[in-house]
Amino acid sequence: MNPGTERLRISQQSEGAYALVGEIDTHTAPLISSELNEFPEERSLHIDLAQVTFIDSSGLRVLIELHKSREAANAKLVLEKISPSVEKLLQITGLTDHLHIAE
Amino acid sequence: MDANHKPGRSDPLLSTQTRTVTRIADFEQRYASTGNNIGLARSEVEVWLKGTASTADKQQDILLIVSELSSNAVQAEGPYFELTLSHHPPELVTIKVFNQVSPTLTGRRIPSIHTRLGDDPLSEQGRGLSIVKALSLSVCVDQRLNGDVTAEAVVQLDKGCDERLISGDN
Repeated sequence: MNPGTERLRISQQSEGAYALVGEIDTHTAPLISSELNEFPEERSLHIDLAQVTFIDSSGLRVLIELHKSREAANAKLVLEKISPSVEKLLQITGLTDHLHIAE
Repeated sequence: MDANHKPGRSDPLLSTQTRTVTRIADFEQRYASTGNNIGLARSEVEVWLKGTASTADKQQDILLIVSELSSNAVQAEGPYFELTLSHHPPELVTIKVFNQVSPTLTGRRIPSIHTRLGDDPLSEQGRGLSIVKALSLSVCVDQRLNGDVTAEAVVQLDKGCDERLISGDN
């Protein structure tokens, strides 16, 4: 079993909607890329972050990559129910004004 | 009561509650330079942080700093990284990460601490040390001639750690 899966779980809630549970860092972030990049870029993607207990800049990087790829294809990446740790990091990096965040 | 009365420390009108925060032993650990060990380091530091009487918010800040500095160390592809945290009560914690650099990465420049977070928010690189800087009183990154790197951040804990409360209750 990939040790990274112990710290992060990705579950599909419906088509184009995923929930991330656990910690997003340099070790687990590639799991998000590999799974979510399978979803067509021209279709909007919704990610529930309510149960993300930790995120660092590696996590931000993968979210930015997903955001950019969808913007380029006239679609959206929507971040939903962001947890306090995610919210704080988005604020200090100035990303709250650049990413689509659902209330 | 005299309107000009100014209570002093021994004034019977004041009750003083003081909780002295004692210094705990340093956290010192060496980890093999693997991505999975960054999460392990955070878990172990989280346990150590309980002894610092810091708030949950500050603990999260410190864990984020640990993660960022450790990630940079792992990217240097050396055999290991060393993580040290020291508590200087009541308000300071220092976080230090040392790593060697893989010989295959000779000439690699260490991450810059001069990148400003607001310059290019959607940049896909180069925000780790800037995040550390935003959360710290000071950050220092030192690279030796042989490529070895030491990164150190100083964090100020919330003033609540030195819980000297003066209340007007008798």
